[in-house]
Amino acid sequence: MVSKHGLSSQLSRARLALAAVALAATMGVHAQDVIKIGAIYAASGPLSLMGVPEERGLRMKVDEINKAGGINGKKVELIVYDSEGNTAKAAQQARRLIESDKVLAILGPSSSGESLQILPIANESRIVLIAHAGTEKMTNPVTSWVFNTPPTDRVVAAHLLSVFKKRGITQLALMSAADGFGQSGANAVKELAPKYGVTVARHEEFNRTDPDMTAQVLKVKDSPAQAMLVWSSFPAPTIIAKNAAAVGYNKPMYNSYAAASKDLLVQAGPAAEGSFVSSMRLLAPDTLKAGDPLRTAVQKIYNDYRAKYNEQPATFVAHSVDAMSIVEAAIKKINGPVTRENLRASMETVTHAGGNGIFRLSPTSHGLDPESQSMLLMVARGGQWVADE
Amino acid sequence: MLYQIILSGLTVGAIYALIAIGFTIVFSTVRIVNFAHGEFVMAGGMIYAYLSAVHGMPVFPAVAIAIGACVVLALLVYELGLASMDKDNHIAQVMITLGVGITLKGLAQIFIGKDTQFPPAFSAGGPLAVGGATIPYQMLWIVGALAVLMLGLYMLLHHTRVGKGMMAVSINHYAATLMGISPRRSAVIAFMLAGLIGGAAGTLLAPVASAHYDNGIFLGIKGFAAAILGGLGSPLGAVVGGLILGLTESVTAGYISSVYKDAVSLVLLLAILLIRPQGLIGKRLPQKF
Repeated sequence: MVSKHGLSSQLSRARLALAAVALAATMGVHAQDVIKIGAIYAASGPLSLMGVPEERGLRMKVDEINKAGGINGKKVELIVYDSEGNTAKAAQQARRLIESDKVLAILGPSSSGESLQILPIANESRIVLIAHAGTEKMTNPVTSWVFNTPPTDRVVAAHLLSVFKKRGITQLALMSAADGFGQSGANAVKELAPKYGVTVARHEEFNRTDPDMTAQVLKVKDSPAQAMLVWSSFPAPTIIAKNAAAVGYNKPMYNSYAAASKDLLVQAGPAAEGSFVSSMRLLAPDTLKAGDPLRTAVQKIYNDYRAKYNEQPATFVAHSVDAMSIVEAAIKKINGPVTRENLRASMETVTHAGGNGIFRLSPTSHGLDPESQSMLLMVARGGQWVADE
Repeated sequence: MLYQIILSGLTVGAIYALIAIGFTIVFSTVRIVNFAHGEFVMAGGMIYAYLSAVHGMPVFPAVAIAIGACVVLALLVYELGLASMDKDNHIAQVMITLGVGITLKGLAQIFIGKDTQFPPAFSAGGPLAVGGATIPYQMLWIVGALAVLMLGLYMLLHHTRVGKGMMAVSINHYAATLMGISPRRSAVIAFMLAGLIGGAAGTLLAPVASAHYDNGIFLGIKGFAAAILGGLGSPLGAVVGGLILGLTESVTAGYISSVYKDAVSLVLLLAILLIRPQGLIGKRLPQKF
């Protein structure tokens, strides 16, 4: 009995010593020499269309930082988890990054659903989260620890409405998908329209995967609306463009940023010619005007990504590149030790011209706003997207 | 505008009808609802898109291979998944079809990809103008294919030994067995036909409505609703159900409200099932023995 007690106390002393060494090791080596950044992306599963380019963009930016000697002489160490687009998994991974990996900040996740799940976790655990979510609920209302890099539906809606105002379009026909994305966009357009002197003369809905939207297009054609605005993810924008061409709809057709991709041009062919889209600049960096405030930043992301991955970057790439650039700028501005709290405070002083727009972060703004010049009108001309502003 | 809305409704209805026939054929011989059927349609469209986009194959060889692949797929589903199952354990069989459906969706995602694709239409040009309305050429292909397949199915079921055997199995499984007709052979043929027609529907539909790994559920639900509306088990019912469903959706979207398009068609479905539980054309199902 006595010897057993002795043994176990010896064992626990040994364990304690080991733990102390381990602790010293992590504190001594890691905390001093590297900056640990965590990221959660849907690298597989249905959302990987977004998750994969986001992760690649982040790795590209971190490689660039490390090649240049790190931030303030410290290398950036990246820990990336694949959420598979699963909200529960994303939440677990966030806790793991916070508690066991002890990262300085978390980037991602890819979707609004996952991001909303992690929002309260970041605030409770007091860690900076820079999400890549389309929903404005991430930063409206602003919470202390949560930032967001993509433009929100409201930013896009405001951009399109300002274009309509400039072009004298006062009667608008809105076509939106009967899903969360379509409804959120339609609500933003309807809410902001009066401010720009635009009336929504007709509003039609459809399922994103319906095989034919001719009936809705005919109602729009029959209405006094001077232009049609389609707010839906693929494939609906393509089908509507084809249906509209078939029934001879000859007024301008505008699309939300969900259609801002080469896909619309490839899929709809001549039916898409002349249609407009509100897009992030990364869609067509070569056609930006010489005086464009974001031209340099956008062309750099585009060229770097092409050089590294040998393919054209999706517009989502800017979400993670901008997030990492903001973190880099914020760490450089920290006066004192690099802690989670100091990073948070420093983040709110960063101004950054990135691929997605001009971020003017402050205690009241944790993302892009309508004045960030995030969106640019592009027109389909000769099978290419061309900047039209 | 009315003409155009009716024409669009009928062509969309023809798509639903093509999908509904697959549910009906399998149900009438095997007495289960094959929930993997929507995935056969998806697979047809995806394989066609893959062959024409990635390998640059011309339209008709690509379509033929896609349809052939769906026939083989359907055969495998039956032989590997269902053939050895207890014939009376319908719940387990239906669960297998659900599982197979999810598997097919996953395979398409991994091997073909996650992009939405629009493969080329079967013939260039169009649309065709008919008295103030227009129809894309592809829609004519769809309606034509529906007519040809229906005719072929009718000839098979009523004028060949194989088809008559299938009808016999569908009327009375045990009596047919006693007469020397193999229910298993009928089931194999039913699944292959479902693969053929489902795959054809997928290739026909993809140029107008896209091929995407996630389309199967949506298409399956529409086709299943059409089959129920017309009467599950009756090929003619599938066609009538599909056309009515397409027409209702189109007229509702055009004249009432596009927001309530699906609600109106589902209410119609419920109403018809309350009045005629066997569907518009279906016969009352024989009781289980």
